[in-house]
Amino acid sequence: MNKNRRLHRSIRTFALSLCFVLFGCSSPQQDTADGRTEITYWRTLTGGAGDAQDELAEQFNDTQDVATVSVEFQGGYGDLAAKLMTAAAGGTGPDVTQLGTFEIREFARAGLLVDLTDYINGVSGIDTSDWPGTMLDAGRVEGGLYWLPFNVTVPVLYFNADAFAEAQIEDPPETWDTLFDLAESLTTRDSNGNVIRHGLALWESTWPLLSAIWSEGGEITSPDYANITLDHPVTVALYSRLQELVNSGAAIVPAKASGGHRAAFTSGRAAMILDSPAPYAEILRQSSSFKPKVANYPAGSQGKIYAPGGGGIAMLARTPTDQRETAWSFIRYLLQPEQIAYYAKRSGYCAFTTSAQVVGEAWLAEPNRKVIHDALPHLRGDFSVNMSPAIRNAFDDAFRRILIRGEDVVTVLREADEIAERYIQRELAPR
Amino acid sequence: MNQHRFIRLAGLLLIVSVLTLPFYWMVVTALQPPGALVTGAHAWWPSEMHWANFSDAWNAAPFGQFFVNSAATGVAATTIQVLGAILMAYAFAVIQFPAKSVIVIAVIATMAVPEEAKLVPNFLLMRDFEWIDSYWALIVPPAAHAFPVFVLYQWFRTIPTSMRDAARADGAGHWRTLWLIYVPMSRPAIAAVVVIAFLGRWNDFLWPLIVTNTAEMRTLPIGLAYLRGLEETGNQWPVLMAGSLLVILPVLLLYAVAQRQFVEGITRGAIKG
Repeated sequence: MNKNRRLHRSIRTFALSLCFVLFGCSSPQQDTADGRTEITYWRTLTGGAGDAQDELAEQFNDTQDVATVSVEFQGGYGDLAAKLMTAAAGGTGPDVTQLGTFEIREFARAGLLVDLTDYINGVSGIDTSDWPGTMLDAGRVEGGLYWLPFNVTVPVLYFNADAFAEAQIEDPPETWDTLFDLAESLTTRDSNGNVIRHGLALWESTWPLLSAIWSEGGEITSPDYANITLDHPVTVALYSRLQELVNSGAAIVPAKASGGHRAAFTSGRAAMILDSPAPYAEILRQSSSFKPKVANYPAGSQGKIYAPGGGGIAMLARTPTDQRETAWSFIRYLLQPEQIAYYAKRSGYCAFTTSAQVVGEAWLAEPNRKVIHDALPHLRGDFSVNMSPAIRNAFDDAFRRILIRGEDVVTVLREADEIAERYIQRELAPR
Repeated sequence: MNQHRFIRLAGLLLIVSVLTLPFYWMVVTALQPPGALVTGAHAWWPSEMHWANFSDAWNAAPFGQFFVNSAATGVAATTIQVLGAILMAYAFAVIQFPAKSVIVIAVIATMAVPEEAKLVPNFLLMRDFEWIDSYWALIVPPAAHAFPVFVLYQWFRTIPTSMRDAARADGAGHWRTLWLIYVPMSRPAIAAVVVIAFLGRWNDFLWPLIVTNTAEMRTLPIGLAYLRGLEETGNQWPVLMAGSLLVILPVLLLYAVAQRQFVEGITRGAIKG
């Protein structure tokens, strides 16, 4: 993972410098034999989440006779980003692309993406009034709008209902403090004191923790990165509590190689996990020895504030000007309520707009699906952390040092903050 | 003596176990029912062989086409790479010409240039040649590699000059000396560079991903990416491992065939210089 990240970063760094010189060399408009404009769309994701994008493109091609979209799979988010940078350096690449959140700022600042502000507000724009939280802000960089959410996911708490009943706990935790207390109550031990079931299995990812930090009033950084606060008192308190739980055996960070937190949950070795709805069907199917249920993440002192996950759509600056309206029409198509609902049903991601939820009403009637979608109004679409690899990497590293290696919380977070401060200067340096 | 032998054997057995354990785990996982790893039901030997993982992996992407592409481009690139290396190594080891040592060092030094650094320049070349999404892009740039030149150069230098003198006395020029004396005497080294070069092509992910766009031109490592899930959704490990086994089988066969020459070529080329 780290090796991949380093590899992609080195490719990006090299390619970025070339992009400044070369990205303006856009290719001429491409027309197919039947006179349609050809739009190339690069995507990531496999299984239903990938197939559904191919299907939507086919549906788009069938609904009009102006453009033909050809979809090309380009590996994972990191692979796609590396290829986008290399292709951009060569003045080639797609017109429209799926894009993870980590690259928005970097790509936008490199001039690789088209500012979509005029398109979204134009005559053929998109009504975003029913989009949750501040989702539109996720794609904003230095006054422009370069990315729109597409495959949106929310945090979800999975819990073992049988374990809850056994411990005489009726409802899922409403607050983070309750969740941590429950982790202790739900932990069972044998006569020798060895843990049989952990109360909480933690995902080796900082994504779930962002929701906890934000909802308790903490911050990782200011939106402009002028004030990075990885050692915020709320974060220190959160990590201290989690470390305490790990040390006592009430929580565990299972290795990914052994199936990670999901294996711990589905095998009954952990009573709760903080996850996303994407593996929902798998988790419910595999949890055969007990009754699994889902709930929203707890609230903090500031209420429910959730960090979104997933990816979105962007238009590439290499797209010829006279082709951009057509490229936009495809983006617009993907973000209509019917298509959002269709994609959510096929992929396991969320039908993230109210109008899409109306379209998918029958499917969303299933109780667990409803719970998952109840989290949407509480999304904070502030991808500021995701957009900065410097902060993200420092924060991820701190997670491992504190919860896996057991190092001192305050020291580690202070060091992480210093590292992030140092690297952000390089990232934000004028280009 | 017997005790020493026992300790040596035990040590070897331990090392072999450590090295083969990941492969064993891969095979066993490929035969587990879906979700076994995640549900904690993964066993050292599956109670029931789930062969459907192999067909699931095969059907998840056009693996037949990927196999053809990997084999065709792997064989072509390896052939060009090894033929070029034989000619260059012979010239460097045998023929005297101006600035030879500088050229040798320059060629060998290219081994120190990371592949990632060559990615964008090579991509620009492919774009200018209009070779993007074609076999040419998968064959030509990867065929230029200094490692086989280095190995064969080292090997050719170990061949006694008396052999060359005898050939010359019989009227053989450089061309005949190369193909009738040097190449037959270098079979282990050539086998080694063939295996290494082919492995490099067979396993390469990044370059084929960069220069191909359509499924018709994609190779096996990219095919495995079709089986790989995301952190959000999780992996179907048995299917992924089954796909990985399908991908590495041809390489294992190649290694089994060329094993003796491969080991000899690597060790002799590395030691003598």
